[in-house]
Amino acid sequence: MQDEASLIERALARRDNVAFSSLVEMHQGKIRAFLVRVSKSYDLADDLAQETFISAFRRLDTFQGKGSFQRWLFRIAYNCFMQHIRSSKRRDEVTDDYSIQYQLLEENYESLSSQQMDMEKAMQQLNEQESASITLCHSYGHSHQEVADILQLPLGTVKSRILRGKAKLRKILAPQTDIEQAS
Amino acid sequence: MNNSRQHSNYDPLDELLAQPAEISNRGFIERVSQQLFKPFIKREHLFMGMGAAWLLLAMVFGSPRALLPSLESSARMITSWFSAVLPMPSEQSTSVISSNLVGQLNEEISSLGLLISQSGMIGIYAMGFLVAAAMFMMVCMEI
Repeated sequence: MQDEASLIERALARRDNVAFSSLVEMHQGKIRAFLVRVSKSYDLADDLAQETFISAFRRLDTFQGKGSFQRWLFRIAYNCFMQHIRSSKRRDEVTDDYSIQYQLLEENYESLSSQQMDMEKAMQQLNEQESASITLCHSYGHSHQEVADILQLPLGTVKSRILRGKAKLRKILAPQTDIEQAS
Repeated sequence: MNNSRQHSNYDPLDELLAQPAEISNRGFIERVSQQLFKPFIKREHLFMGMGAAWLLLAMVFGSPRALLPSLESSARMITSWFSAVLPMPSEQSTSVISSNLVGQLNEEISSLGLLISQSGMIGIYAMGFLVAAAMFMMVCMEI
């Protein structure tokens, strides 16, 4: 398997679809998992992820090679999600039926442990800024500043979203785990 | 540097968050690849359609001689129809007139067929040139 830099170079220089498909394969898992957490819908997340990659392919020449390709993709993905929110007022349509989400989790994830399942369920109860900030920072290892760049939010806002989100998660997960005692 | 990673205290929530669930593929990569290849497939269909039209035109106009017999038979049919409808003075004069008319018509049809075939050939070459130019432009623009 080729490395990311050479695939980007091939896709950029020759508009090589095969090279870009390999990049999709590399990053789709994270982008889709991120979008599931922020949109709280698997089908919508899939549509938005598809839009993200098509948009990334079309705008590949705007990727200067400075910074991480994954961060650039996360930014496009979040922009796609925000555009969707703005255009369809989807925010009000988010389901509160977590039993449905629970069933969907088993179908949509690979080898999901019970703890991960609880975490995904708990994530459904955070707002999109909280879940996006926590996912990018704690699950995918981006710094607070990088998260602020991706979400186009002030650094202070990102920090407060993470703190507030984590407090909510502790509260939700407390009956099932020893998280609250540990904190 | 990630601020969260600077904490020295062990936090089970951080540990749990650091192990995000992996989402299954469910044909996603194939769907995106299909979308990426869509313009190429469309272009392929366009070229195939243009190629088929070109071939058809070449078959029709490529051999003008093949068209002449059918045009001649049509001319004979029209002549016989006229002779049946219009009152003719005598059978002998009718046959003379009709043979003259057929001969004249054949000549006109031959020249008309030649004209059609020539303009058809010009059309084919023009279309071929346009296809080649379009292909060249598409390759240059990489669409």
